[in-house]
Amino acid sequence: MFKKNKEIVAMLLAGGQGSRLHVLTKNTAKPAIPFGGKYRIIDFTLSNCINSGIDTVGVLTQYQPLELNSYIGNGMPWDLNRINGGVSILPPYVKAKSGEWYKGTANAVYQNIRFIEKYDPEYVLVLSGDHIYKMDYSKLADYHKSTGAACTIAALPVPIEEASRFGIMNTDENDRIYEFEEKPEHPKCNNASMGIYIFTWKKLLEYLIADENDPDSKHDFGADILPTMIKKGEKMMAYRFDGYWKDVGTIDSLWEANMDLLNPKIPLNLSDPNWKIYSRFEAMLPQYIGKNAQIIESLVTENCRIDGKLWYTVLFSGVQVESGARLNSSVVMSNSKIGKNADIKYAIIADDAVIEDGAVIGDLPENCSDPSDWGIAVIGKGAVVKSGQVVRPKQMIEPYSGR
Amino acid sequence: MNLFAGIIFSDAYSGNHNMLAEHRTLASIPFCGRFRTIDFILSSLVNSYVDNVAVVTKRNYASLEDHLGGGRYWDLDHRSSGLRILSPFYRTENNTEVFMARGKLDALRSVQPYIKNLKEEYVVLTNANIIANIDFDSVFEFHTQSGADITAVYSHICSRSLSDLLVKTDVSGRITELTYAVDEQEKQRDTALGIYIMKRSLLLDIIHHADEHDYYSFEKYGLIKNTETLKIMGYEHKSFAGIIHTVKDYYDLSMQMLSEDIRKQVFRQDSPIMTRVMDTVPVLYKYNASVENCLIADGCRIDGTVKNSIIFRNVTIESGAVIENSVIMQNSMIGKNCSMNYVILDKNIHVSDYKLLQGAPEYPYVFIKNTKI
Repeated sequence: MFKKNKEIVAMLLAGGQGSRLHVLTKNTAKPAIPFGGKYRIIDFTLSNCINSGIDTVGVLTQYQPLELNSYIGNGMPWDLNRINGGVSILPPYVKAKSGEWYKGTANAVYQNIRFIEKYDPEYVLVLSGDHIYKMDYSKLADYHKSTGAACTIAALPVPIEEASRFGIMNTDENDRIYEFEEKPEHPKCNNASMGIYIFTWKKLLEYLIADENDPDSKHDFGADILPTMIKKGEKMMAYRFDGYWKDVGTIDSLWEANMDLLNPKIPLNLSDPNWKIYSRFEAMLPQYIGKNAQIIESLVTENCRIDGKLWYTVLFSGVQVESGARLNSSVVMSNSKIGKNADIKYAIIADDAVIEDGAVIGDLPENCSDPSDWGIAVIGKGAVVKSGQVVRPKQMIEPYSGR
Repeated sequence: MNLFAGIIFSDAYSGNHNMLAEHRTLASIPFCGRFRTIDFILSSLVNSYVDNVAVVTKRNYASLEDHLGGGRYWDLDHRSSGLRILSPFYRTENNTEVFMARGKLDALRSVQPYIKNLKEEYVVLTNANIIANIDFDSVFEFHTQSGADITAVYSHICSRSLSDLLVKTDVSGRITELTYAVDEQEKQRDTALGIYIMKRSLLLDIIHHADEHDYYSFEKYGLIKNTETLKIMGYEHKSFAGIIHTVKDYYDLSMQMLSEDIRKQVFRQDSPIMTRVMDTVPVLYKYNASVENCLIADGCRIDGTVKNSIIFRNVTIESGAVIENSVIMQNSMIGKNCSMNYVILDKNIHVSDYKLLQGAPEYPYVFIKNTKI
C-alpha cells in the first residue's frame, strides 16, 4: 500500500517498571497507572501527540504490557486509528539470529529502526509515558528546525535543591547545551531535562548504531546517547518550557499530581476544549449522590455511588462510598468499595479494593509526632481491608493475588 | 448469524405533542444525564446479538444521526450489516411533492427494498421511546416456541397516553383484544410497549396488503384487525418499563431514575445501556457544593445546592444557586443565587444570576434549548 512519509514519528518509551510506585505497579506498567479520575498516565503523552498534529506513534512496551496493550488497542480514543500511521505497540521480539529484551531506552529505539524507516521521517520525537503535562510538540519541532540542531531537549526550571534528581543541562547564553549531567551530585544549574527529545533522524540513526556497537554503553538516552553527541560537538539545544509538568514516578508525586487537579492555582486544566486529554472510556451511568453525602473540593467520576463525605478527594469510576464513611485528601481508583464509617486520610486506594465498615486508613501529617513516620498509605488492587483494621500512614497493602 | 433484524422508528406517528421533541426526534431526547432515549432499545437489541439494525426516521433527525454516527458505540460499525439510518420520504406519482409518512406502514412501504434485501428471517419492529432493558433473548425464544405469528411485548405499567395499546390476553398468553386507551387513568394496566416480532415474510405481506387499501397504521391494520386471523402472543416484560410521549412522562421517568431499585432494573451490568462516549472530565465539586439525591454526569462543575435533580454533562452551577426537582440538560450554565424548582432546561441554556424559575410537579416547566434567561 502507498505510504506517505511522515515528517515526525514519535517513539513513546512505556517499558519502565516504575518500581518506586511499589504495590501500584506490581501487575501494571507505569504508563497504565490510573490518574485524575478517568485517565491513565499515558493519556497525556498520547493526547499531546495528536493535539500537536503527530499521528504516528510507536509505543515501546516491555514490563507487564497486557493492561497497557489492551488499553491502547487500536488507538481510537486518541484518534490514532489511522490507515497510514496511527499508534503501533512495539514490544521486543525475536529476530532471525537472536532475540532480546530492550537493554535500555536507546536500545529500544535501535531495535525499532525499521519501524521508523518505514515512514522515512525527518525528525524523531522521543517521549516518556510517565509524565503528567500538556505540551505542544509542534512548537518544540519548530524551534528544533529553526536552530538546525541535531537534538533539542525540553527543559524545565526546577528548585535547585531537587536538581540532582534530574538530568541537568548546562547551556550557553543561546541555550546551546555544552554539558549534560545525568542526576549530578552538585548541579551547576536548575535546567532539568523533561525526558522529551527531538532528534534529526539521520543524526540519531548514526548515534544509535554507534551506541549499539559500544560494549561499555548502557544504551540509555540520558546516560549515553546525549553525552556522546555533545562530546562529538553536535549542536544540542535546550527548549525552555514553563507549563505544568510532573514526573509521577513515586507514590508521593502521584498523589500530589492528583491533588494538583483540585487546586485552581495550578495550571493543569483538564477541561480546556483546545487541548483535550483523551482516554479510553465506556459509557456509564452518571454518578448518584445520596441523601447523606457531602462533597467538597473533590473530583468524582461516572458510575460512582456516594453517600459518605469527601474532602479534597479524587474518585475514579464506579466507586461506592457508604454513609458515614469519610475520605480526606485521598485517591480511590475504579470500582473500589468504601464501607460505612470507614475513615480514610491521605491514601491511594487502587482499583477493586474493598474497605470494610469502620476501617481506618492513613492519617493527617500533623498527627504523626515523628515526620519520618508519615506518608501516603497505599492499598493495592483488589485488596481487602477488614472491618476495624487500621492501616498506618506510609503502610502499603499488597494487591490481591488470588483468582 | 442472528435470525432477527431490528427496525426502530425514531418517532411516533400520532398524537402527543412533546416540546422536547420539537427540534429533535423522540429517539434522541437526552435522558438520565448522558443517554438518549434510543440507547435503551438499541442496547437491548445489541445485547441479544442483533447486529443488523435500521432506524427509520421521520423528520428533524440531525441530532439522531449525530448521536448514532456509524454505530461504533453500540458495536454496530460492521463492514456488512450494522446500523443503517433510513429516511422514508418518497415522491408521489407525479413526482412533484415530497410525501410524509402518515404511519408506520407508510414509512415501511418506502423502505421496502431494504426489508426485502435483509437476510434475517425475523424482524423486530420497535419504537424508540421505551425506557427499559428488554431481554430479547427471552422474547425471541418465546416467539419461536409459542408458534406466534406476531409477538407483542407488554408491561404492567401506568401509561397516560391515548396512543398506547392496552393488551388483553387469554390463559395461553394469546392476545385476544388490543384497544386504545380512551381515558387517562392513573393506574397500571397491561400496555403494549410498541415492540413487535414477526417473520419478515409476514411483515412484507402486511405492507403489501395495506398498500392495496391505503392503510398506514401498523397498529390498526396489522394488529387490531388481525387478533382473530393471526396468532398474536403477548410477552410480558416484568422488570421496569416506561414510555415517553409527553413532557410529563419524560419528567416522571427521569425522577424515577433517582430510585436505586429502578436503576438496577434498567442499567444492568449483564446488559449495559450503551451510548455515545464524549470526552468529559470528572465532576468538580467546589467549596460551596451541597448535593442530595441527584444523578450527575461528568464534566459538571458544582458550587451550588442541588436536590432531587438530574444534571447532564458539562453543566456549571454557581455558588448560591439552589436547584430542586429539576432536569438540566448538557452545557447549561446556572448563575449565582438562582433558584429553580420543577423545571426542565433543554441543552445549552444560560441562566444569569438571581433568576427564579418555577414549575409545578404536575406541570414541569420546559425551557427550550439555546435560550438565555
